Amino acid sequence: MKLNIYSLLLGAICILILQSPVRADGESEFLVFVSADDLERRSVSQTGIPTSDFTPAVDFLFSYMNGPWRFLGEYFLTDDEHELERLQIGYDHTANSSIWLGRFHQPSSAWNNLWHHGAYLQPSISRPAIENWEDDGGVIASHITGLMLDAWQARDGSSGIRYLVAAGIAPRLTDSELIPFDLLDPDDSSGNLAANLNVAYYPDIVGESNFGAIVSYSEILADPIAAFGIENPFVIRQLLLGGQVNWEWDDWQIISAAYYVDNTVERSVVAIDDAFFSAYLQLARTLGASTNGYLRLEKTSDTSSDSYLQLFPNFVAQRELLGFRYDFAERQAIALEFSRNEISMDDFSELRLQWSATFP
Amino acid sequence: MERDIPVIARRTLFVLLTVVAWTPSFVLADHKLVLVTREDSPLSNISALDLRKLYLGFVVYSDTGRQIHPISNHSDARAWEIFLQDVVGMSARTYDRRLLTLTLQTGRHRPQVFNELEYVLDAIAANPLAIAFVWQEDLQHRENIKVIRVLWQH
Repeated sequence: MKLNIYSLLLGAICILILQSPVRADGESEFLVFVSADDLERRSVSQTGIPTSDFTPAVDFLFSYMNGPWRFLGEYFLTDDEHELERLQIGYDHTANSSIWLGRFHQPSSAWNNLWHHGAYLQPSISRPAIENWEDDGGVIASHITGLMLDAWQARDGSSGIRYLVAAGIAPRLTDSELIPFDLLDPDDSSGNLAANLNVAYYPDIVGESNFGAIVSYSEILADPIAAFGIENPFVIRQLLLGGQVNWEWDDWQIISAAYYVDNTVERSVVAIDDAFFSAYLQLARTLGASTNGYLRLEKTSDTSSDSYLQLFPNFVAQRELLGFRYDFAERQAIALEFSRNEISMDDFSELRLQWSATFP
Repeated sequence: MERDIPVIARRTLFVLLTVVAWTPSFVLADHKLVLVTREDSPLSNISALDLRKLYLGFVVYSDTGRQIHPISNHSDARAWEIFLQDVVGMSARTYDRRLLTLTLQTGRHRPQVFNELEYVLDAIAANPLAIAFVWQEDLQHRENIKVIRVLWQH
């Protein structure tokens, strides 16, 4: 485990806070999401892909409210990374609308906007490949630093429409990894424009079921890539059009999204305009009072021919997954997941075991 | 002797039914779960939708433009069970996960929780915009608290 001043400082804060009873006191909230993931891979022939891994993780969430003002911070820590995920200051100018300033997760990701880094709350151990965080090989920007409007429009009865609109700084591409703007290291992570729109209909405004449309535009500033003969910085203009659904009925839940991603890559000699399509469908069912099972199918087209996706050789183009989860004690769960994965030059299977919990 | 057993059983059953029929105040007591606030509160009623929104972390303002504060009463298991069934319509685990999810997404705060009835009623008395669910019979000798909605009754 790499120890540095950030890890030690946050560890000390965690110990001090957890020693005192922290409750929802009407002004501040502090939550800690912890998890431990064990991963085993089989039939891996590509170098650079580990055959096993064990990852402990802690996600600190702090929020504070004072009248119409809100503050939210999220810091994520594992054995080999630490990142200030979100730092937002918000203002509720009506009961149904808030304006946020800061760093947040892009509204263009249906999955990440629901579960962020809360492993205990996420309905599966792994997330769909198209929804991966930038530092996990994600091919779509998942963070934005700027302004966001979160507004609800009530309709007949208890239904409503939610609008999430954001504009700010897009990530940059360095060594085949998207690097979002880092508030703790702004000089090395500044980028160009990003803008998102997420509109969703909720039949019950306080429920989880919803479906909607997503539009996103990012100008990704990319460093030279010697392997592709690109000697100068260039810009990738990424346009995303998508739809998503999260629907619960009886013991069932369906989570699905489909994205059309168009990337315009301007090189010094040739302008390339490629697009790919990606979709996933996750179906879950409650099997007992504390147990549920789920399966997920993912597919991304043209991964071997798309110019943009060639920058991410380990991106999972296709996945079939089956998992089970058991909840026990207070806010603890254990889950097991098996999947078959295909990347551009390889295919392999994965077995994941996860313990997750939320405190207090 | 064998014929006396069914007769004894019928007589016993008749006696029991008579006792039950003549003691409605014992068996069918008026038992209400009510929503309360402070006596001088500007709140006079809250719609079912606003009540669900409040207890799911959404912001709801009173007619005077001030934010309403929900209090979760965990002092009585039956009251808590009725609240889950009739107000939020979720199991305890689902409700807990829903609250955590909303906090994770937008930083919304969960309702303030008290495990002792006295603390619930003290919190109500201290804030004219606080609401809580309690058994009506628990309001005896608490004249500074008023009922604004009946949530359930037997």
